[in-house]
Amino acid sequence: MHLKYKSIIGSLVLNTEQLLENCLAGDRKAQQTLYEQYAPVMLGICRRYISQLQDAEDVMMEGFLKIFLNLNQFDHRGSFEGWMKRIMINEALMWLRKRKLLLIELDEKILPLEETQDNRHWELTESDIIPILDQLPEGYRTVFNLYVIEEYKHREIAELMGISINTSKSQLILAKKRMKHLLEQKKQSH
Amino acid sequence: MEQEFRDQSKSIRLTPSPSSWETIRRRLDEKNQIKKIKLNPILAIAASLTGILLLASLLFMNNNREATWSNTSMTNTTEFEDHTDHTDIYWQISQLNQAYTRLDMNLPSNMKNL
Repeated sequence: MHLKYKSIIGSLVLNTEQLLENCLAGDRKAQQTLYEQYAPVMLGICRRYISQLQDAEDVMMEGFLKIFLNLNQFDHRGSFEGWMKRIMINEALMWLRKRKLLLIELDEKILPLEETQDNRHWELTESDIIPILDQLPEGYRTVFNLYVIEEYKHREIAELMGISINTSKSQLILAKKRMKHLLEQKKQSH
Repeated sequence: MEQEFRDQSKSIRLTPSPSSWETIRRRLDEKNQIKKIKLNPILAIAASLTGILLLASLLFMNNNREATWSNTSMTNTTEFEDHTDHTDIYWQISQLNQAYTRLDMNLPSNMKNL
């Protein structure tokens, strides 16, 4: 049984490698196969950052274009999906920055210094995520996505967004606070 | 809450519009066209050098042609001056002839033939 799974995984890896090689050679059929395989996941990522589906799709297309044009830069050390995700996240951040949606102006004196621990179980489903994220301001939403879902460090977020580490931390605390409030409202309405 | 969000977010799948792949394919084709037009930098340098050499050789050939032409025109001028000299000589001979006549003398026979 173990060997069977191993061989299935092995053949999948081999297929992806072959697919990447063909994509690199400019084979449009291979590029289409790769696109069809990963586009739903990538659009899901872009949509978490961008509130309009059409805009998220434009960002995803731009991301795929970059992936195909820079495929020779993928060093095969990490996972290919991880590499693609990073490109999509960068594209989404660039899109937000261009539209000045990441402008965060905060008075740090009024910010909470510590967050309270909350171990409640919210029974979330995948269809709950985007509607809740859509209710957060862009700054909260971006930091929440990067820290909680993508598991970036505050230092990395600060670099990516061009903000201070403290701003990243405070945005996260405020995002979580707002998120809990929204989840409580949702629970009460049910 | 964080773990729940993380787990549920990973399974989000959204279907893109059917035309999105066509848009990507078209843009890839456009980029390919531009890439083909763009010359390899080494080839571009080689082409520029060939162009400069060609231009230089054309200029050199043109200069040579001009030099030949000016030499030819100088020869023509010399011929014209020669002709003028002859007239002078004829004039001088006629003057001499008149002087000889006034002195009741004859021109030497070799001068009469001129």
